[in-house]
Amino acid sequence: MRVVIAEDSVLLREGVVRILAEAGFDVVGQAGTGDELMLKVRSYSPDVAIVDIRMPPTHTDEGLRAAQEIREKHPGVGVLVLSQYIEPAYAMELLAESAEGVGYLLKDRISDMHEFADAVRRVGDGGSALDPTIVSQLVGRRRQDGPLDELTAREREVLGLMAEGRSNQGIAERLVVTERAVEKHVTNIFSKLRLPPATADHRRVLAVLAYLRG
Amino acid sequence: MKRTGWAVVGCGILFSAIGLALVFTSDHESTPAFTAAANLVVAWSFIGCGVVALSRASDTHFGFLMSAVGLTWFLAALSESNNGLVYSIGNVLWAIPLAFFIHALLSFPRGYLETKLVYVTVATAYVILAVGPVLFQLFGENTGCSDCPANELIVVDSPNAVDFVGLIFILLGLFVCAATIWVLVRRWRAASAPLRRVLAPVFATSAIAIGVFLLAAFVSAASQTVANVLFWLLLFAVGSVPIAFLMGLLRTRLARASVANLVLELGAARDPESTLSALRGALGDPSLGLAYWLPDRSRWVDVSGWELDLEAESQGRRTTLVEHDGAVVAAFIHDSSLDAELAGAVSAAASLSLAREQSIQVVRQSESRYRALLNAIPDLMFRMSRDGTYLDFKGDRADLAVPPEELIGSNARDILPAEVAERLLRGIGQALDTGDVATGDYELTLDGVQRTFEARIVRDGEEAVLIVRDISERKQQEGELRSSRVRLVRAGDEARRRLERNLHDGAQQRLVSLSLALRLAHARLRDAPEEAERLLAGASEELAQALEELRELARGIHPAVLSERGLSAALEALAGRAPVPVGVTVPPDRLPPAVEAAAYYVISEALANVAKYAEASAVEISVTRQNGRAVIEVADDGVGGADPTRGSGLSGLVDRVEALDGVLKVESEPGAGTRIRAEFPCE
Repeated sequence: MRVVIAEDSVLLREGVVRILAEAGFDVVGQAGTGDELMLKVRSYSPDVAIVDIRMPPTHTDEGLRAAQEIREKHPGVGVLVLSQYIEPAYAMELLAESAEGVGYLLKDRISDMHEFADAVRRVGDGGSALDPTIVSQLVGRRRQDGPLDELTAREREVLGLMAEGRSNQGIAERLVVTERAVEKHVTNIFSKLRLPPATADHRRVLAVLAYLRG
Repeated sequence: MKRTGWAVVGCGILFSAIGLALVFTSDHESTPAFTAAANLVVAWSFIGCGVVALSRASDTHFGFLMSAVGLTWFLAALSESNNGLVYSIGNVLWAIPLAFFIHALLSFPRGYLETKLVYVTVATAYVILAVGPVLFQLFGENTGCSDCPANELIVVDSPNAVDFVGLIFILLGLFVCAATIWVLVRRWRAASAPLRRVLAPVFATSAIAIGVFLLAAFVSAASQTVANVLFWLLLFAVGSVPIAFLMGLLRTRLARASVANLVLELGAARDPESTLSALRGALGDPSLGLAYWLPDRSRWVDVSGWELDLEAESQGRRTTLVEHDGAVVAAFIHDSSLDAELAGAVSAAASLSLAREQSIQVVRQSESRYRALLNAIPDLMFRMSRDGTYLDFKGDRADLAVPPEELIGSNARDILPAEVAERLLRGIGQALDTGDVATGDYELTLDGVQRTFEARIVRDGEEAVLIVRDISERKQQEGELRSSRVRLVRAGDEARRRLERNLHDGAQQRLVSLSLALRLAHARLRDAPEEAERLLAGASEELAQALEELRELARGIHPAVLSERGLSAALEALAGRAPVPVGVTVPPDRLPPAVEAAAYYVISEALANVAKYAEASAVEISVTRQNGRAVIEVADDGVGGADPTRGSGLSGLVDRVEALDGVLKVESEPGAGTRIRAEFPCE
């Protein structure tokens, strides 16, 4: 899987490159700014671009804007945005239209090499990867009484993992249960929340997120 | 006595002599002595009155008329002549003085014939009294006097013609009498009190004279005896009229004598009111008005200082100007019957006093304008002597240390605290010595309230004028501003201290232990790889914690999303982390960054308070724009009872909000939840 990395901190970039190489990714380009990233994406047609949200010159949300641009101009390229902070507002901006080939993770997640590689792979395959912090905030957000209270603890866990963008198989691996069991939970969740069933993982993410944001 | 007067007297003596000669040589005069005496009395009373009037500049008109009555009176004496022609002429001219008399009466006291009716009446009187006797003489036999000479002027002896002429004569006479009475009655009713005093004797005697004349006119044809009696009566009635004129003149003469008293009274008069009453007494006119001229404002004012329209006031009355040193100082408005000479004399006598009072009025006027100006200035003012005695003041009782009635004459040392009095006296001394304005602030406790005053001391001759302004409010505002700045700075310092402590106790400690763990793992890597692995796993955990803490710290300093995406995005994160359900209503458009930041911290602090104290089940956050203001409200349904003055969280917010000219309100009745409302100007 071909990867382009945009990260202005050289140290971190090199670390990520090493981790990705070790996990079997082919890092075809590295960039330090948004413009450079666009150039590399155009030149190397990667499967996924890993983008730091803050980059020169303003160190605000260049990465986010570059990510939007990539999704617009190169729909086939997945974009995984990394950030020092997790802002639900940014996640929603990224996922506004589609959760296909989009990811938004806290930089800390890099240290869990296995999880990180999994997320990159999901995004590169057209799936999604949403940071568990955001998901847990959304799921854990206090609400007036609603159908969410009817979910069992296990179902909540499954709901969160769905929102992170994981497939049934991924959820089953994560929870150490059979895929069959996960499917059952998913059906229960959808019926309890009165959501229409969605088959594709990335559509499922959007439906769940839309529900959670309420 | 004037030359005219002497001429009249001369003529009178000459005519008297001729008259006496005629009376005493007459062969048809039965009582020569009595006739002579009576006629002399009448004639000379008119002449005397005429001469007196002639000597008075304002009365020459009467002088002439009265003199004419007196001198023509002697014409009747011609009829005493034994010569037929002279006798006949005498019979023709005897009535001439009556015409002059009616003229005098009707022009009294103004000296001219006022209306057309009066003019016609007088003219008719002249005609019938001059022409009537001629007609009788031309057409009639001289009857009723057997010893009298024959009528030399007779043309046709016709009793019918005489009767006819007599009828016309009587009718015209009636018209003259009626018109005269009408005019006199009207004049009397219109007359003011002083005018009536002059008119009364004249009118009374004249009425008697006219009554007798009427009687004589009606009955003389019937009986010669009765006619003779009435003629005598008429003689004396007419003779008394000049006495009445003299009385009128005497009255003004008496008034003139009161001018001397006036001077004395004016000297004693202390105020314009007593001057006015002295003038009214002296001129015998209780309606007399007095006006003072204010040259700097070109206006008239009355004795009370009110503005007065002299032209309107003197309508139908007369104005006499009072001058002093060639300048007009005042004016009387008086009855037009008032003797002009007397008014002039009074004006001259009063000019000095009135000039003095006028200048007092001028000062009073400018003083009242000055006062009005001073009263419009909110400052307190004091006039003080060098030794600290209060001489005068202007201001509110509430701003004074002692009641106003006690202030004047008191010394600052007895009223003000020693330290303040000392500084005040030093300031006065400095201002008086150098002529420079001395300034200073001082504090006083008035009615238990501490107040700050700012004084400016100015030299005014030997005295000092203090202009004192209450600056308590400004001082208080300055104080509040200063303490809010101090609090802001302190809050900043406190935040930095907390940051330093958090970094030191948190991330830094973790990094140190991480560094230790890494060294240890490095050392154990070969000998004890399992322990090294355990150490590295622990280090990894420690690192994740450090990162988490750093992230939280950074968010606390300033959430990046607030400046990058605005309040709405920042609040979404804030609401997501709150322990209770939070409803957020935020407008889609951005607010000014400073307002967004302040609003964020208000809401953040409010939510922190909700988490800590409120025991709420729900929180509603709303951000709205109303009339150019951003209004932020955070309302919970918790226990309430929050005290904004206690705990630095809320008071820190007050400073932050006020720094943007905003207002922070906390409503927190116990049991009714807490509502925090912040408003910012936001165009």
